[in-house]
Amino acid sequence: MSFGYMNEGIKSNGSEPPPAQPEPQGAPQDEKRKSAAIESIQQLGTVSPPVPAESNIFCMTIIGQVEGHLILPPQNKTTKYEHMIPQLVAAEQNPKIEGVLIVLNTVGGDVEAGLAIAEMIASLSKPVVTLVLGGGHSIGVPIAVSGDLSYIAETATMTIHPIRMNGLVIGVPQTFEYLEKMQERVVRFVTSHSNISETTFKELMFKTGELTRDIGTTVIGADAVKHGLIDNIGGLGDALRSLNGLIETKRAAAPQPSSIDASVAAGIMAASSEVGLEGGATQ
Amino acid sequence: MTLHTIMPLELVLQGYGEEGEPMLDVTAKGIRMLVIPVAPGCGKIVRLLDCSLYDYLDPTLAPGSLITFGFE
Repeated sequence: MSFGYMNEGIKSNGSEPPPAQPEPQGAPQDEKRKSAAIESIQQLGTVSPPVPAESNIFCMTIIGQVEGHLILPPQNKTTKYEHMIPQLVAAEQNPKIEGVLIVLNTVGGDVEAGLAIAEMIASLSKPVVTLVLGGGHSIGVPIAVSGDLSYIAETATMTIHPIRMNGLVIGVPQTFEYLEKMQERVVRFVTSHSNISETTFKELMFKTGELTRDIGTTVIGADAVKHGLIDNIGGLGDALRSLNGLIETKRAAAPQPSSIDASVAAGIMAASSEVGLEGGATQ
Repeated sequence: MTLHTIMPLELVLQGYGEEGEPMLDVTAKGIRMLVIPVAPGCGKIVRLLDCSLYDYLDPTLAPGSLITFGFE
């Protein structure tokens, strides 16, 4: 295509070399678009290829290990928190995004990073629905409860267990008190963002006999809802339906500047027609 | 750093302390980023260093995706 275009240019200019061709700036693009359309007719049998409309929902996935201040060895599949944080900022700032769906399938990870993500999600002004698929373990628990509404798949599990002493010691004296404080942050976040009571959560956390090598509990789908940790059992359809519902509610509640302007203008018009222009001005 | 995970720590930290893959500081699509080179002119994004806010929403710029870069 572009060769044909070049040849035409050479022909029209005689023997002169073709200039930089600044004037038909849009032409090659049009040509490209046209050829894409022709190609789509040939390939797909349709006039225009099916282009999905831009979604008003931002979907964020939290998978593998939540990576914090240290780069984990490459065998780990990680969620990089330094990318998630600005993503959430962008989602909050972007007027086209009206809701956020968080999909979790994580084995836990860094406490600081996990809590940072959870706090960011909790403080978003836009509706957020979280969905736990597969697993939302350890530090995934506060992230799972951080949204406005949480869902868990029937087969998904969540492991609630204490922060262990055998963490990697880097610079910080990880005394028992220190770890207990860290744990307290997680407990406080979870209990304040879900319907689970502190007693129940701690009971699950320190239960013995449930996990073979550790203390703690694995709650599966219905159990998570029974304990009040997660709001509902459901899958993608339910989560999206709820999110769209929340978006609608928010849209309805938000004042619409254009309609207010219109109603104010209508009110002024009505008042001025009733009592005359001067009267309308004084009212 | 404290890890709170169900994965055994020995598995998570296996190979920790070994020399990591060297990273390149490159500019692609007008964005400064760190990449792990996989082929000449092609790398796997590690993180974005200098970009606009909405670039973070671009899935092609997510860490782990491949990107081509020229030497500018």
